[in-house]
Amino acid sequence: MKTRTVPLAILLFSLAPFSFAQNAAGISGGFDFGQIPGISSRPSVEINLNSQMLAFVGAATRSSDPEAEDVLGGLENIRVLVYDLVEEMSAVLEFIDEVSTALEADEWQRVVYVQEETERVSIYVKFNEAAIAGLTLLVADGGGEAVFVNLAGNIDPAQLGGITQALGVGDVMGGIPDLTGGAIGNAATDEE
Amino acid sequence: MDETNEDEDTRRLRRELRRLGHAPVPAGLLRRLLAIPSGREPGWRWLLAPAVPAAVVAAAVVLVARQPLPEEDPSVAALQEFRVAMSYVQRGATVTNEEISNAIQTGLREAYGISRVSVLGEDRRPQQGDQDEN
Repeated sequence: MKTRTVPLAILLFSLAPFSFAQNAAGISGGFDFGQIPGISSRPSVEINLNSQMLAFVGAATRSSDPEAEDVLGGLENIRVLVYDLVEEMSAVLEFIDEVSTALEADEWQRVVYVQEETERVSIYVKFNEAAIAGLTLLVADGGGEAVFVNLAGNIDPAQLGGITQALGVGDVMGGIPDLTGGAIGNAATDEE
Repeated sequence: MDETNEDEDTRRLRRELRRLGHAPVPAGLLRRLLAIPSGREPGWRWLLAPAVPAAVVAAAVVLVARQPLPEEDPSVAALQEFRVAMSYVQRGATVTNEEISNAIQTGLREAYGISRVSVLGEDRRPQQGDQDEN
């Protein structure tokens, strides 16, 4: 038994760098960003809305949009991490590239990819049959800010965009191709 | 404690002890019982009288201050967080739109430039390979 435990431990340690690829709390479409390198400070914005909190959001928007409760009820988790002061942007850019690789290995589809010398924008979507089960947004801009967002659950882009528009945020999904039937297609650009 | 009050207390105590039964009461016990302060005698208590309302007010202020703030409605808090979260998704969408617009504009500009050259022959200068082609 011992002879099996040691190789297993070695295997687990060797997989540790890729642990961020695990689903957050076992939610399909969830993604835990784990420890982000190049940043020592705590996030300036940290949001973690679980299904219960999202039910509150649905209840709060019920009067303005009766369908919002159903749409938001399909969401299981929203996680946002925003870092204002990134000490080592190169480490964060590398992290985004590693996460991108891990997501693609986990059958996430890249719908947006912008790569410049000091900037990355990547949006990944995980499909569950015909529906969207997760959306992950990775942004590092040249100004020293990094944003990581994960939406998990049953996402209806058109309806979710409608709700956010009603809330004054704008149609958050309308600008993302492949989500709302946009004819533009994959927006990947590579200006490296 | 004046004598009148002491006598009255003594009488009342004897009466109560008698009511308890006929068991003999040790003489020392009665003295010790009487020695227990009744709480009536301090004549200086009147000094506290003006402080009482102030103390009550102070206590009230402390109590009010210590009362927990009214709890924020969880729906409102959750909605606010949701809006912030979505605003960051919106930012990503905005960046995407800009990149798409730039890509399309660049593509169109290049395509337009190529078509102008090929159709109108503008800016066409003899190239090194032109003679070879002919």
